Amino acid sequence: MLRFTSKYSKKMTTTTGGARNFKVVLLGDGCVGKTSLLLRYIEDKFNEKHLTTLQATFLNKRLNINGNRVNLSIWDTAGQEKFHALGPIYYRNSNGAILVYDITDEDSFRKVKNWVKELKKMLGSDINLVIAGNKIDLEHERTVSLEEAESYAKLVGAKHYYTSAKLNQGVEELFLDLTREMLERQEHNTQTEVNRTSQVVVVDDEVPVQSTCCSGHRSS
Amino acid sequence: MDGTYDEIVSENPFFLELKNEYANLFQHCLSESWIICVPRIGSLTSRVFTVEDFCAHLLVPSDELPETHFNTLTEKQVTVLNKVITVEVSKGLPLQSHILFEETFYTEDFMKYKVWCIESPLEPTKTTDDAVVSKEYLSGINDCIDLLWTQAAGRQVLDNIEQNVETFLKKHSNLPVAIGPLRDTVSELYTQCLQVTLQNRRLRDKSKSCKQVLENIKLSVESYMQHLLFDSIFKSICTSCAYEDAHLNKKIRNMCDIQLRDLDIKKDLYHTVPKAKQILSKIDTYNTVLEKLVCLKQALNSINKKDSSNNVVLLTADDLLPVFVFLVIKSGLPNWFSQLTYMKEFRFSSAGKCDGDESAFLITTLEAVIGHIQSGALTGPPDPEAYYYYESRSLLLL
Repeated sequence: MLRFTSKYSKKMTTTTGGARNFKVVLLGDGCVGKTSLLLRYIEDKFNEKHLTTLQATFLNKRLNINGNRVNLSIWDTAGQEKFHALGPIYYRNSNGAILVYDITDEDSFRKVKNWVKELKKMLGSDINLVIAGNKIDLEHERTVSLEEAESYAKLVGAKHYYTSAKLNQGVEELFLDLTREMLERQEHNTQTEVNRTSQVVVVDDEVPVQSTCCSGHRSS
Repeated sequence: MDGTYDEIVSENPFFLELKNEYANLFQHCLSESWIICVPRIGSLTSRVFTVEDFCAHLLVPSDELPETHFNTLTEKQVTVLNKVITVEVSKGLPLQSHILFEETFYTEDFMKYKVWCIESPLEPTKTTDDAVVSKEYLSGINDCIDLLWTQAAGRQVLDNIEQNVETFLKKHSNLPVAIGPLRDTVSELYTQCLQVTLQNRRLRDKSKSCKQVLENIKLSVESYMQHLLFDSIFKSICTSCAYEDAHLNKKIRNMCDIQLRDLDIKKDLYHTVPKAKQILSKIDTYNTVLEKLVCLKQALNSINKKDSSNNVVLLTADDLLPVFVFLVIKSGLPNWFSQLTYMKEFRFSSAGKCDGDESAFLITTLEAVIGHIQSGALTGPPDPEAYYYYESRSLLLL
């Protein structure tokens, strides 16, 4: 038993508790099928009576990708126009965003473009974006052209996927690829963080000077 | 409050041995997408496993009902319902075990398999150890006191926390009114209380062997501290949020006549509103952040509907938010903003975790609802006839 305890605590220090937590928000117009996409992914067969989830608005999924443990928290948001202003409250501190549109509804694609603009403005490039064209089971009614969607996604540095919650196509792939990208980004960020902290150590001498100028807030 | 058990399954000795010593069986399992059950580390009574042990924990989905019916490789029938695994055994009562969590693994060569971490082994065992740690689900202050009392086998931890809080209150007879400094001083107190708690040897040993216990201890210490401190700090919070509360109350008062239909709430949710309202309006009777969060969760989950075959239909954010807006307006509480600030700023035990967990989601939802009311977006057109005109027009457009 003891042997295991020591091993466990060693692991804790290297990967902060073993699992990485990622927050992912789902954004998109009201009827594009965000929630069906989410429910399809979670495929939660045990959840009939045990409401361990918060309705279909917040769901958790644990993954283990090549030994990297990931805990995905997926937040659904309200898609109605009147709640649009609440977006920033939901997407702050997100690691990833999935922007969903309906391939048979041009207006929903326009909304995705608005979301992308807003996210870029508010969060810069700190977030991994994925655009999902949902309802490909209705291919014959498509109004958003394939080229347009894909070239737009490329332009804004997002990956584009075609999904169908109904037929269970592309859903798992989308979440898996997004998780991989978030992992990569975090790895990259921790590396730069290490560089940054080493820089802080260098300017250690200046710290007392800074603290005296900051202490001015007491008088204000 | 998530109450979710956690362990690193890939380091569980049962799983490791299956993977390393029985590699052929393991690979076969992957290629057939069978489900691997791994008993949680605390439930393993020995470190010696036979091939039968592993076979009893590999589930082959049945052809007809692959979601709920399985066979083990030892030819036992298994059913899964509501996170409980039931195994038929030849003699006596069927064996049962809880699924603690599911983890989906992806290998380097893009193979996918699922592991269920389970409460106890799926085999008859002589003795099951009584240290059932995973079931600790803290939902109120009494659970927290129980945990600190029983796990430490005595009152001394509670006494220590009480002492710390007392000295704190003596020292800070005038608590800072601004939220930032107030949070920082209380956070210091929390650190002290936690340190003093973990000086207890029993608690320290238990929290070392299981991360879940440590998380629960942290939450219990936080809650007990809040329980003792609430009256003093909440007054300060209300003072510093007075302006926001007054502004919000003005908006709420202006909308006191609002009806469910004004908020486009679906008709089949109407019947759940009274109960949800009753649950939510009790939020100010709780002193700890934990209990306030549980209250929010219960209120949200009490808004539900059933389909024709009586199954619970999960609701989307689009359905839920308007109902929640209605509940906050009708709750009659005069200090929603202070409540929100308390929940947002005085949760210390979850520090270091990502702010995407369930509690963060609940707080964000409340924040969104309050923001929506504050924004005045609800007031809408002043002329009710215009509203109906708008509604009928939008119906035509559909």
